Amino acid sequence: MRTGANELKTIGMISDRVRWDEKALIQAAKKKGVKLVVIDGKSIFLEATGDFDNIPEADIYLQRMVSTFKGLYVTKILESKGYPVVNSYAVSSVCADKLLTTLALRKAGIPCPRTFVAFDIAAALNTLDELRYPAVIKPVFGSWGRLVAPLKDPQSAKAILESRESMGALYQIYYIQELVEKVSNRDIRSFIIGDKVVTAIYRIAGQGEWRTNTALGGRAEVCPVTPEIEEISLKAAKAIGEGVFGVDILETEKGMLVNEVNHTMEYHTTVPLTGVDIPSMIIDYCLEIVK
Amino acid sequence: MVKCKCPECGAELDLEDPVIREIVECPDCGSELEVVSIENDKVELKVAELEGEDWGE
Repeated sequence: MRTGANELKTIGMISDRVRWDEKALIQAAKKKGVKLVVIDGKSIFLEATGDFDNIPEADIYLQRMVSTFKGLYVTKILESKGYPVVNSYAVSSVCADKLLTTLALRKAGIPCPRTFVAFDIAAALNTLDELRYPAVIKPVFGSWGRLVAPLKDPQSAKAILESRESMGALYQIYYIQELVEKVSNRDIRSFIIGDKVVTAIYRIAGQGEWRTNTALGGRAEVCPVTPEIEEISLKAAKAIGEGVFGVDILETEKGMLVNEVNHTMEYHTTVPLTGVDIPSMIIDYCLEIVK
Repeated sequence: MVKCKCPECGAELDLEDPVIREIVECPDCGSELEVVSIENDKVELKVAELEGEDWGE
């Protein structure tokens, strides 16, 4: 039974790994006296045709699965049963797919790196003649810079594209972007909760690495949220929908470009660095939805 | 603090308020470990699952 409007609300946090980020959510809820149930996303089953489920009851679910596809399906099923989920399926499914994100950003008129998609090696090489070298290939699904590769010339591009042929159907969706000339060896990650940019960091590429992902050894510094960062971050979030987002922004001489919008953002680097209590804000945001 | 052993190298770890499925790093060998059970202040760890291809944020 779901609780009534004025009773204490329960947040069901669905996770497959309890990392620093999820533990911080547990601690934030505890500190606030909010009931947060930690749900093992790997041991749940859900009836798609009815309501025979083993998922603990909650007023709202917070999706923190590190496995993108499993997370998306759990979210979709819960929503089909009438439960609110942060982030929603509509939002998560767009963020999870880099091509859908690019299309949503383009529709909203938000500047982003020039991007092509091709489904065949010859066609991909043809797009590179238009886009020019060096370029970047990214899997449409995936994170942390995994399998993001520079395409420096036709020979290396062909070799990398051929290597993707043995990696499964999704890796043969060739999502190819211009290699953006940035003003420095860093990019910006801004954090959006609802309609607010709560903080931002610079991510600086590690030694010998061109990708700035902290998962690849990139380091972080505090980034002041300027009006320009605030505006482009909120526009990017709005282009996707309502929710909790990590927006990746590139600084170029012509202005800022939005590179990615993340729907299960991590903040284990950001919280200790900035002192901004993102987990607590996420808990408040969930409660606000079911108020 | 709860004491437990790294299943990979045998080093002793001190965990603060451990949670089931929590991911911790062994300070000695750097292995990524997962809390699999907590019973009467006895914590059991296993080497965490390798990164999946659709893992991410």
